[in-house]
Amino acid sequence: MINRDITIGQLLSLSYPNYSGSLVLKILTYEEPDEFYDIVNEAIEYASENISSNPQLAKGLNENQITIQIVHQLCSMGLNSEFDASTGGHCDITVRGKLNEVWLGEAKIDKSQSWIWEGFLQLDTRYMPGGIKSCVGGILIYSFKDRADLRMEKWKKYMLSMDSDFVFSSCPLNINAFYSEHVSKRTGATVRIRHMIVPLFFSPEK
Amino acid sequence: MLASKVKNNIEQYAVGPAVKELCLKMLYYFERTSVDEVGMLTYRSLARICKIDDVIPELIEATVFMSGALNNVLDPGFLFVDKDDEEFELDKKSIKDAREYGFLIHPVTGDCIYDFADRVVLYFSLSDSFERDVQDD
Repeated sequence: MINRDITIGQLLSLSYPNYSGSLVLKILTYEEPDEFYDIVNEAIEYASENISSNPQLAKGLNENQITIQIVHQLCSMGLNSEFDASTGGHCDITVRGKLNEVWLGEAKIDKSQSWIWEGFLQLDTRYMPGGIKSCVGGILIYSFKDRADLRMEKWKKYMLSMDSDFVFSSCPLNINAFYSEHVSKRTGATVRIRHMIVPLFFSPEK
Repeated sequence: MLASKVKNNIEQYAVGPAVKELCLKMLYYFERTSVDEVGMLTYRSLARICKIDDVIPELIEATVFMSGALNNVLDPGFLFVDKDDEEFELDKKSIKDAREYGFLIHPVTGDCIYDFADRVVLYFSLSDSFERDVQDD
């Protein structure tokens, strides 16, 4: 009976409307905080793709409305996610794992680099405790402007102009996302943030 | 207590009527069945519990929803069935290592199993926290 049941090969080959078989298996096998953070980042990437695939529906939405949609999608994957939870203030996205680890995210509409920087400072200096299991998170930039790639390049340069100690690395999930690392002023731990853009520019020419 | 929270989560967050219905059927079964009787849950047995003929992607999505930290009802497990039909329980790390290196080490013989993806079966059991919650009720 057992050997006629679903194998991981079959699980990986099925197609799911909201995520991949590979993400399903990662969710079912995670047992380390770093694996959890990877799952959250991948899940947010799926949620972002879902929203940006219909940018006309996002027109007129504010930061909170888009963020609530993302949190809702994370919950639908079984991730313990909350909008506006209290963690030293009201952090936009809080995702808690089974091992008491937490991923914290701050979302900003792409109004200006200084506006996004405010969000980064809120995340880093207000919401993020900077403990071993609470020094990883993300900045989500909702951009209604064109050329998401150039917006992210500009954002990275702006960050460096504010603090030259940031260490950057690329993100394998999305060419327009990147990671930054810096030292937490509170604890001295290395804070790792994924910066991603949700491209919502919509200007059909025909 | 946990069961009512899970029910709220299902109604609020489970995506699509099929996943929602499957989650509710599972929850209803777990609530009214003794923990010993629930035992080990393969996808085929979950399909029977949910009264569907086959394992469909929505059933797998439902188990992911019920296994995550949001609900924490099910704990996943993995069984390796070797060519002699012997079954061996695997820990999660063995699965991840096999995926990374492209082969599984046979727990007894030490052989490299390259077709492990077709020989490892998923199953579920009730999580400790859900068991405690059901027993308390």
